[in-house]
Amino acid sequence: MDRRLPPRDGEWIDRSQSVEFRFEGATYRGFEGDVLSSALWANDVRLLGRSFKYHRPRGVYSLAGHDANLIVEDGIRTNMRGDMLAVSSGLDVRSVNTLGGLDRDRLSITGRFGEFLPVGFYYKAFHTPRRLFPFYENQMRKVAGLGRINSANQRANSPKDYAFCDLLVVGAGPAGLAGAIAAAEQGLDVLIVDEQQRPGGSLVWQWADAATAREHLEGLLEQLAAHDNVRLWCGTQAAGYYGDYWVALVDDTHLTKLRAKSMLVATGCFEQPAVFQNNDLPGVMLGSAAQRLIQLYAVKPFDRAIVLAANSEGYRVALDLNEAGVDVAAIADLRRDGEATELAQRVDDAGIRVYRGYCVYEAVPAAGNKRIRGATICALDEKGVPRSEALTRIDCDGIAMSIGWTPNGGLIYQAGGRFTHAEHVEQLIPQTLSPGTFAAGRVNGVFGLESQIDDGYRAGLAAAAHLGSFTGDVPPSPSHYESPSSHPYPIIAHKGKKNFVDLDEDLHLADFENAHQEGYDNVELMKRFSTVGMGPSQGKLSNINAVRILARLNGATINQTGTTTSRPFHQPVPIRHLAGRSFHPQRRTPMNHWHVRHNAEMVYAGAWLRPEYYRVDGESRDDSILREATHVRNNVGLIDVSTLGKLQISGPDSVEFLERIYTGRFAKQQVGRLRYGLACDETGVIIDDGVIGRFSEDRFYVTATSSGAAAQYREMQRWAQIWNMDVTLVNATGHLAAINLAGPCCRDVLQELTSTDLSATAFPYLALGEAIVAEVSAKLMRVGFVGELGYEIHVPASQAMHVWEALMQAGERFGIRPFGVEAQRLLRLEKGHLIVSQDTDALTSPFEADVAWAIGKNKTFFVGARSLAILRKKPLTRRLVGLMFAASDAGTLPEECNLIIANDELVGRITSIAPRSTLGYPIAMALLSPDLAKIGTTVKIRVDGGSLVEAVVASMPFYDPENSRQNVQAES
Amino acid sequence: MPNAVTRSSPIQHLLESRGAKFRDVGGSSYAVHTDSEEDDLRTLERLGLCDLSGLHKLGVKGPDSETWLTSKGLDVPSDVFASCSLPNGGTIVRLGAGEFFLEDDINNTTLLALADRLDTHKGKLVRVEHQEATFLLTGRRSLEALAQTCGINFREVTSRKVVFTRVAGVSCGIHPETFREVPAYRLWVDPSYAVYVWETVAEICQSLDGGEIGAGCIYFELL
Repeated sequence: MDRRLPPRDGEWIDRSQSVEFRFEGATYRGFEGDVLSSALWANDVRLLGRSFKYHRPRGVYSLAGHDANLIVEDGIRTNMRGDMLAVSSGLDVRSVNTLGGLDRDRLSITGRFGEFLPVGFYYKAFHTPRRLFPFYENQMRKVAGLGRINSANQRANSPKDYAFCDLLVVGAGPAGLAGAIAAAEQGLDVLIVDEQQRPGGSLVWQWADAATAREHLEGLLEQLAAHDNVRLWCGTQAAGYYGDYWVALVDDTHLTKLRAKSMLVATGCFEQPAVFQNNDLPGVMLGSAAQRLIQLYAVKPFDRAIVLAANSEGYRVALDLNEAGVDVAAIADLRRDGEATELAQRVDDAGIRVYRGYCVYEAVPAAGNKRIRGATICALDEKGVPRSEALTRIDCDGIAMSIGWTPNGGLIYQAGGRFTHAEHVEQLIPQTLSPGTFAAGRVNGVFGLESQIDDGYRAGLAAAAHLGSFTGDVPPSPSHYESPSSHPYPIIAHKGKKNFVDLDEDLHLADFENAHQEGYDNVELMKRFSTVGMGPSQGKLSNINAVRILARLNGATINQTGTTTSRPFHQPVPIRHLAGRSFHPQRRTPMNHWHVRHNAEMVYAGAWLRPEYYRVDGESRDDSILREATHVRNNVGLIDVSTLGKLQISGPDSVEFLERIYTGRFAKQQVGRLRYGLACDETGVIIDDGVIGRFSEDRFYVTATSSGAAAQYREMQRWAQIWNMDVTLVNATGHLAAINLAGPCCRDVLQELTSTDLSATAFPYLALGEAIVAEVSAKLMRVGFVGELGYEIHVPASQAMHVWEALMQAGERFGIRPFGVEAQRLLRLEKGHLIVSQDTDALTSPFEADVAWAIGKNKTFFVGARSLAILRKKPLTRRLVGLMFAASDAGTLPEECNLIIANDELVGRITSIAPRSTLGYPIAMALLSPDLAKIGTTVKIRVDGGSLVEAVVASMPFYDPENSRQNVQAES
Repeated sequence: MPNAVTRSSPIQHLLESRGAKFRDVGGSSYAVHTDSEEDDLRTLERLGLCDLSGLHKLGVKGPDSETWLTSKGLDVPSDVFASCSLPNGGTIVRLGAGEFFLEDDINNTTLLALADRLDTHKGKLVRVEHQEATFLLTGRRSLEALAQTCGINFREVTSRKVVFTRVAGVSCGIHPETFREVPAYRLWVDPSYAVYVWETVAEICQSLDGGEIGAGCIYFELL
């Protein structure tokens, strides 16, 4: 059956664009502009979803995304709300939270046990006996939750975005548009956002029968268009307010971080449901939902309807239904005096019967509860209690409720504003607003259409005045003189216990009464015990009724009872929008693409990408690493060490500064020479190391560890300021590339590219100089980190690739090969050189790491000196030692961080290990208890499988203890 | 400063892999076109991303830096983060009380002479190695692209002022400019982050109907 109405002015659907989509496996047609809820209702599909707990049938309720009745998933996206999901060709969705499909949901049986599942039953029922809790938990997990996450889905990128404005106007209804115009006229940069797809707010559905509404909307939009300092973003929700007018704006594609200077909240109200028996079944909906169906989507909501009213809006709903061809059987008006405006006469003229002082006592379900077939109404006594002994049955397939409103004031709360309950409107209205925040329209308790526009204009001027763009008088807010738009207690008791207060959580009136009886008489406690307002719609349709119930149970006013705070997000936000585009900065050396082209296996070292080793077909990773290391020992290798920190220290106080930063002495360091530098923090813990080269009396060049360079530079800057020293610091890390050429043949290779004399006498071990290498200015250092004759060549990043390729070419006749980080680690381990932060931790002192030799004798001050003086007098608790394994142990070796055990006690841990070495047997470095650190002691290490492996404490360095390889004196 | 070797951009291999045509000017290599000249020009006005990393840079730091620069006939900006033009094109930015960053025009006339004299200078003056990548974001939608990477309101940033902020999580200097009557933003990025920043910003540009352009539509002498 097609419930689509003939074309009407203002409808949002495009009838020329038919759309075919699937829901629960069936195919339907809708129009471009339809949302899923409207399209299904147009196809006379009343059963749209199932409730969370009892799996009760649910249909269209708010048609504004304020309820969670229709939540669907498509296998990729989950928990999409049908009220907001535009239909499109190919859309194929199913309802969440069912077992066996929506129509035959097997979990609907839980509804029959409702008597045994009161609020809090699981708190009480499942905590004993404790041994059964895993069973309960497993069963609960099976039935709990809404949509299912498909873990096979690929991440969908969602842009990050920032925006700025002077005034953010939230809500493009009459008040918001008027406010934006007022502010724009004063020159403010205005951004209007509205979660609906088109502007107009209530003008396009609630006031659609008023001849002036369209004129108002057209007029407002025309005025807006005249200002180029106004932007209008529809389909965008202001999801949350954070400090200083930082507002999260969310649309279909992404989240925008908006920084405004002030905010005008014209968000209107959420229409509230009445509480009566079966008020949740398909066919019972808010009056505003019925109006939206008619005015926006041209869908006839019902064939025969009752309107439950307590305000003028209810009468407008009745008239709209009547105009759409719905047989309005009656208006049940909760007010004894009924409607006082001219609407009463219009309803009478339309032949609609009005029952004053009546309520809907219950909706009568059809078989299976999947739609309603009637309603019973009855009179209310003087205290508002239904006279259930005198029920009147009226056949109908729909009940529209228009009994009241609650402000959409989440942003005001989040910005620090407070609300108070005002009896003249029976609604919460802002009591205080934080500076720079303004409210207008219905959220401000102003309901008349003209009044809303006036209030919006006033608020726009107030915002302009706040920002200094308007200096005139801001008019007062219009007062509300009509009868309240909300009923003070639209809640009808019923023994059937299906009179729902919170549809998300299936909480009915008795649940609140029981909770109150158990002592949960405070609004916050009641919320947490009952879970009211904690479902997907976050209490938009339940919180105020829950507060009314609690207030009545306590015999208190609503202001005495208080309300809960609405926190972000206003509506659900996909996690991918929160994550945004993935920003994971990566650092690459200038030779990175060369490494990749030459089969390097790249690894992350902090943010840096480095070649771990270079793959060779048919060779294992370990074989490749050992081959690269062996080649360096026997021949010549090249490694990209551009990741090293490269710092320049210049100025008259350079020497003094370095002596304070590092543990060593530099005053007598010769120009053109390198020294080892060890840096500690104030507690004497090693934080960095490197070499310190002296280019002139007051100019030094310092390397730092790859991972610690930025921190070390920051520390230097901090100390330079604290000590007020005349030094100039430069961090050239990314701007200079560095290449380490190592191995017995490396001097010959390098000499081919430079005129600088590299002989052992002219450029000995730990020499430093400036040279031209392959026609490029370079800093040249003779170092020995890998334990062989070696040079570090530092060149500008933009010319490094040229130098690298020149070295490869010059080394061709020597069989030069690149080597990766793993080979370098192996080589330095053989040499016993520690790596800060691998072989040391956040507590390691120079004494423990066996580098106390790097502390200058008789130095009166350096960072950490005082602590080291104390530590020096204390016995060591651990020492960095070398370990040797039997060659036959290669298959069962420990890994880094495996623990060393003695007498069932933890006595140390492995810090570095090489399963294979150029020495022919596995070696490691470990932090070990000093009483076990004697050379030749056998220790046991627990490997990941749990077994113990033996190793022998060995002296370091393992390789070339005389340093003859790196400290080559003779000419090669 | 012998450096006869042509300087290459940190993203040169990326542009090579996209088939860009290169030309050497002033000791540096530039991608002249990534597309046809006409297409590049259209993209420039809409939303273009251009690699100008070949432009020579120089830093001077120390108490004597301002005096030394003015002694060489250069006007220096008086405010920190303010910029002004070099005599033959290019930009000089004051980074601090005694620190300046200079980027030359494509012909590298100013810095070549300046750097040679700086090398021999004695006193409280340090030459700072600057190898930043230079990317120029151009076009009517450049602000939208920038807004997807950093949280600065560039509508309120005056011209001739450098903003130091983070673009896609990386520290950058951003210099608002106008080029061919469309807004342009010059990004200075540590070269080690250049590939990451380029790929990220280029992806954003593509999503906004923009794209990569060659330096030929910025400097006609490359054509």
